[in-house]
Amino acid sequence: MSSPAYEKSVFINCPFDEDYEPLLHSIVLCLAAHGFHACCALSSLPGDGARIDRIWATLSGCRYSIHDLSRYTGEGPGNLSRFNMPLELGLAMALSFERRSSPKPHDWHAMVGGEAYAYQRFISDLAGFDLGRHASSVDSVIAETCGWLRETQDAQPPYPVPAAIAAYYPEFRAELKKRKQFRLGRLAWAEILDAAATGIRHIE
Amino acid sequence: MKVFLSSDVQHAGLASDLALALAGLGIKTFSVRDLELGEGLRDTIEREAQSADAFVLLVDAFSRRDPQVRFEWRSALKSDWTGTKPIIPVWLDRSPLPGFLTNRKALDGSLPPEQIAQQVVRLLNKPTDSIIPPTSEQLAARETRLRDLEQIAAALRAESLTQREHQR
Repeated sequence: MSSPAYEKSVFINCPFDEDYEPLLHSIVLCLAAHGFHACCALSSLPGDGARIDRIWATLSGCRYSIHDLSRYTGEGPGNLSRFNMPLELGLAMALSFERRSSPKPHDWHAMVGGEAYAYQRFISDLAGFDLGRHASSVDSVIAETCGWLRETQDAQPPYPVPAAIAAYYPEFRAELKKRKQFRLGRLAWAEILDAAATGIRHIE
Repeated sequence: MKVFLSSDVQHAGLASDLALALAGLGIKTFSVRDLELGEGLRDTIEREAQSADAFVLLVDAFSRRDPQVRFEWRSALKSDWTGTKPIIPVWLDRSPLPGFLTNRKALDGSLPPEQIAQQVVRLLNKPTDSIIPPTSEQLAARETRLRDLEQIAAALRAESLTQREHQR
């Protein structure tokens, strides 16, 4: 097998920065623990065309997507908000709509950290949807991700309990740190996937 | 002991009868159907799911497509941090059960509510009976999934390292 099955692929749309990194890694670990392959904007290489085209190509190859809209407030000297996450959520919603009767459907799940109903103000068109919630902690993101994943059509037991994933998480992070040091400070997406895929054998 | 009882609108009557039968056996229940719709509804569902000791889900082909019911199921799963809360499906038709319920003992939804309630209590008293151990086929399928993930990740890693070498 050289490429992941469509129904086992999940696109992750979240901030790619140092602050969010622990949460991103927890999502990747949850996906692997349930037998899913994680994809994201970092999956493809920069030489493969315009960034948005690469994102669309990766997203449309995934049965599911998970979106974290937690970064909705202004940041930095210009007090600017990041629009990449809502943009990619919009792409996923369009994909889901377009493929609703297709043999290759797409389902998305969005979540927010912090204030529960803030999204009804900053992205009020989603007011009728049940967005997931977390407390911006690793454990809460693991609980939210596992809860969503297990309810999807393609998650099949047996799988480890969230507490077991959380218990293994520090070891996973230590492994990533080791690999990052070995690669002179740069951790490729494929390296994270490899660490997760080999690490889940230790979760039970 | 508090049980979170989940059903769609169509089966609110059965849910109510079941709640009554469970109350008669000393089991308290919570159902979203007892609440008024409002902004705090999601909070209440998540809070009640967190504090519930067990879940009874009325399941049929239609309930699986109900966003409200699915939110309740997700909340139940999200609250089960250690995998020890009994999640008991009451199977109302013969449509395939959602994946997360395939390892749970499903109760026959065509039985009278009093009988279903008795079976629920029996499972609550012995929670291990509510879980069906994985079959050898399920274990083999899991092994295949893990092996596939390892192979794909290893191939991507090798590809990524080659690309890096080219960039140097």
